[in-house]
Amino acid sequence: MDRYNVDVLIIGAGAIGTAVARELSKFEQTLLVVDRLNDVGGDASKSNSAIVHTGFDAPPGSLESQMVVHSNPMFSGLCSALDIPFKQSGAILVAASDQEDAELQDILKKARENHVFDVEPLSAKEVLDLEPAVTPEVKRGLLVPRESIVDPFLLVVAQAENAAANGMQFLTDCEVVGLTRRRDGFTVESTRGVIRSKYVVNAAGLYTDRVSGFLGIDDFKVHARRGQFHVIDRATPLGISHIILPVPTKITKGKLLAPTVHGNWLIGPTAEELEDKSAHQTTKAGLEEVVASVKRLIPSLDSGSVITQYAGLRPVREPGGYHFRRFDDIPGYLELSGIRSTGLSASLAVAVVAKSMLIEMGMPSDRKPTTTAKREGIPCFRDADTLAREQLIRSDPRYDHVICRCETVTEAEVVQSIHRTPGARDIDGVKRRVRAGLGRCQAGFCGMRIPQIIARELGISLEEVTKKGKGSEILVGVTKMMRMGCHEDH
Amino acid sequence: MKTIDCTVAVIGAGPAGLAAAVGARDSGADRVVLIERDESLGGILQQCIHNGFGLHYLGRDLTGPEYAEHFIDEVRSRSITCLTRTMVLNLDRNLSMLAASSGGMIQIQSKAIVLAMGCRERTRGAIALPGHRPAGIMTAGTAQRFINIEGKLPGKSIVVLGSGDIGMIMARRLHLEGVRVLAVVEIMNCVGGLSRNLVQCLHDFDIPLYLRHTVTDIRGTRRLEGVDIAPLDDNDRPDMSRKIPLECDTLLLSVGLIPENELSRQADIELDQATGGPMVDQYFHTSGAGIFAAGNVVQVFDLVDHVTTCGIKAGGSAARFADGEIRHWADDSCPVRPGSEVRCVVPHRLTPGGDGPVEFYLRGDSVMRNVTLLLHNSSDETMFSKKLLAVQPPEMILVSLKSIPQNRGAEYTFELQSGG
Amino acid sequence: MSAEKRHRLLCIVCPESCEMEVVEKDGTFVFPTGICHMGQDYARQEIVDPRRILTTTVKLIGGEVQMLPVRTTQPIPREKLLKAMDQIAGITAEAPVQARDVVIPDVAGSGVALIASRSVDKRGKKTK
Repeated sequence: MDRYNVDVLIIGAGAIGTAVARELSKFEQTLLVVDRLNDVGGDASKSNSAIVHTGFDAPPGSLESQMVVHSNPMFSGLCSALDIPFKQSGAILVAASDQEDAELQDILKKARENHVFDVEPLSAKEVLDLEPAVTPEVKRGLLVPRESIVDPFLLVVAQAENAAANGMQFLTDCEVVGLTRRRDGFTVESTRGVIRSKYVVNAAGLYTDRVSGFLGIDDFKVHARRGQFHVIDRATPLGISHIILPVPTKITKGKLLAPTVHGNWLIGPTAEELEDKSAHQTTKAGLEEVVASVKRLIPSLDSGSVITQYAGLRPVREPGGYHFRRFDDIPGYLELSGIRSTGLSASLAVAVVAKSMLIEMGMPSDRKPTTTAKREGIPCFRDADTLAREQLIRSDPRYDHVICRCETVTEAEVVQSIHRTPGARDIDGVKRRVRAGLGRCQAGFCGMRIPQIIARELGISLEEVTKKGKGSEILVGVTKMMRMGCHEDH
Repeated sequence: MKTIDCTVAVIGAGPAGLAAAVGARDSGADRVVLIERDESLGGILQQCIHNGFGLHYLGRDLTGPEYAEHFIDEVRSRSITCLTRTMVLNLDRNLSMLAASSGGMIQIQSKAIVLAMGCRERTRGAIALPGHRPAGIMTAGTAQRFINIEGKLPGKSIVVLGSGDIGMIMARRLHLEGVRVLAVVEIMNCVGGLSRNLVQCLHDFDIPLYLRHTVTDIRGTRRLEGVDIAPLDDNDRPDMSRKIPLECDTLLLSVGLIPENELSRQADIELDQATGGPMVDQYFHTSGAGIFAAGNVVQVFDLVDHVTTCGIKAGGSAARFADGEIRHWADDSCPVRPGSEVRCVVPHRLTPGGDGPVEFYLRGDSVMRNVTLLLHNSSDETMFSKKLLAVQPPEMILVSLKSIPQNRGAEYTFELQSGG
Repeated sequence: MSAEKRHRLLCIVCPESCEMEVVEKDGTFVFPTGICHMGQDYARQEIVDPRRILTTTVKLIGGEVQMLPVRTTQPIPREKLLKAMDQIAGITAEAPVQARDVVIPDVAGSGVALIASRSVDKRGKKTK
């Protein structure tokens, strides 16, 4: 078993954990981020609506509201510095009935209470001028210009790569199974060894209750609220460029339609309360519910042009609300719990606050002499023009080999995604970093090529290549294995 | 950047492309370039190691690779330039293409182009199959590639969703390799492929076929552990009270083929909603002047022999267009539409001024016995009728019309009627 | 005097795809009405001596591709298919291979040869 000795341990490599990691990576402190999953990216952090909210509809006066409202303006600078796909698409909240129309005033008022002052009322005609595909039943709407879209996985990966470039270490497939406070720090038992750390940050999302529980903190519980989504093919003539939001009801925020930074659209999510924290499956009923709901606002929605579905599990804390906690009797422990639905959007401000709290708790804040605040993404062949493509090919000849037809991804990009830190180690890791395999043919063409490249680059056999970590191998052996094994007596 | 000028460029070197290249050259095209994204020629045929190819066109019962080799030899003996490991990324209406190949980008300017990119498989996502998303779920074609080309087995116990030909053929293939094939599950009330395959792939090996059933749940978080299947009730909804759990580690999807139309869309070529591929006239000319299309990229064929016939015609037409012998249909052609009980018909248009018989390739919408195939014009006159013993969707209907008035303004409809 | 045997078959000769129950008694076959003579010939063959062409792959050493597709030259008895697969699992072929090269002269004692279905060059050889 391995042993690690660090200054700061962050449990959870989702949106919160990696944002905190990036902040802390500027300091001399030795840092380790661990995650029980096979890759960075988190759980809910990678299966969501990919929206960077403004906070216009957050509970006014709450910690959540402050975090979201303060994070939103930080995104364009960060995404520019770290080469993360980000777009200020804007959102239109659509009131399609008189009852919904009556709520708009309150929503506007709430937005102002949340210090989101740039929400504009729209007449029905203005809504339809902006987005002709919206239902002709529209009464009025609200424009929220700074609601934006981002690639959620790349948001996390880019921050992780930047933190790693500044010395941060990552351990995946590392589940925390024990945590005790010692005289001069913490002893953390994990599936990859024992970790000793002076400070521990709990950014474990769905499992924040389990981690705090190890320390005897049992005043809250976390359960899952599943959200199912459909992804709609960008070739569909929907023509929608804004996020389309429904008027929320007492029970639910409702189901939206959002463009993605890659040109597709998402519709969803459902809101299903579940005890099982690994219930990531989609359901027929849930998906049908999503389509029916969004069709109310976008009648031309054709569910025949879906590419894929996914489900994310929101961590729901009870008692609810964002909680950033330190405990007098557990010095060095920082718990970041209750972050839900707006975690991605709030992450940048949360990271700054977490950093400040750690410094208040005594963490030294001497900065490293040199750090980098920039990160270049993997140069993208698809988005380059012919001249740029030729340059890419000159820089790396593997750019001439297109292996993913739908997304025009080349071998060079797949190889680079494997050799980044933290890099892709499996098919899903490649898919999320360079988009190979998540287009409309869902790895129909590249289905064999990606595993071959992974096997080659990692020096493993094809049978050892997995979809998402150990236990998810895609092949079981060689073609002749069953006949050779089973029938000696013929 | 390397530039290539040619008379006819063929995109895709599967059976349609190989035939088109041969057809173009034999019709006098000077420089014919055959472009293939894979390392070798032959396209999908190289992984279709089973037999049944060439019964009509060559009078022989060949395997896919044997059929491919025959036409690869035909191509090689005709001074046709073959660009393998080359993917066309851009197609312009002015007949220029941009491709990525080893060594760099290539610009290709042609006088005529034949699209022969074949088709891709419908995915789990496209049919919104619910459940977990573990490893062990793949399309039948991907599994076929793994087993037959790479020599790797995708699983040890398999359920096949979809009883099209590829699904049944893979069921047999896996059974022969010692894999447990638990079931072939089909949502329709009849088998989706040829009867020959029902007998020789499923009956021969007692592989259970569940008609009017579908997969309702997928279990397993990392690797597939099992699926639930359930019969459809009278409202075509799964009857969960009669669901059957099947323990398996692999689910193969054989739920339909869709023409590969990335380039067609890019070049703004008019697509047929029924087939998903470009609309073509009897010369296989698409709505883009100088752009022809043949094979599965137009509509999914069940016999490769017909793909070859269409490919040769399309290549020949492309050569004649490059030579100025035939012109584009522009607004001049007569539409041919699928009517009652006909799902789709190719060609979609008849360009006036043509001579010689025209072959139509149709698919019926349902299983029917003792039918009459009729062709009407817009004045409801019957231009043609033919009695057929039986039709079923998996088997394409071929009909050759010797003479058909190709007058301007005419509109034609094919329909199938019960009763001889 | 032997007992009657009934065979259920699906005819694959033409798109009609007739389903039939054939009664076999004392070496003669009785067909339901409406079965054409091609269908009867097919049924007889299927009952008396069902044969299939076997197509599969053989592990290939040193070739441009990993697996060599192979086929029997003629149909072999259906009951020998799995025995043939076992025999084939135990062998490998070596590149270069020409299509129609004999891989196994007599597969599973059927008297029928197993031949290569594809020509494969040695790995590393550059061809145009």
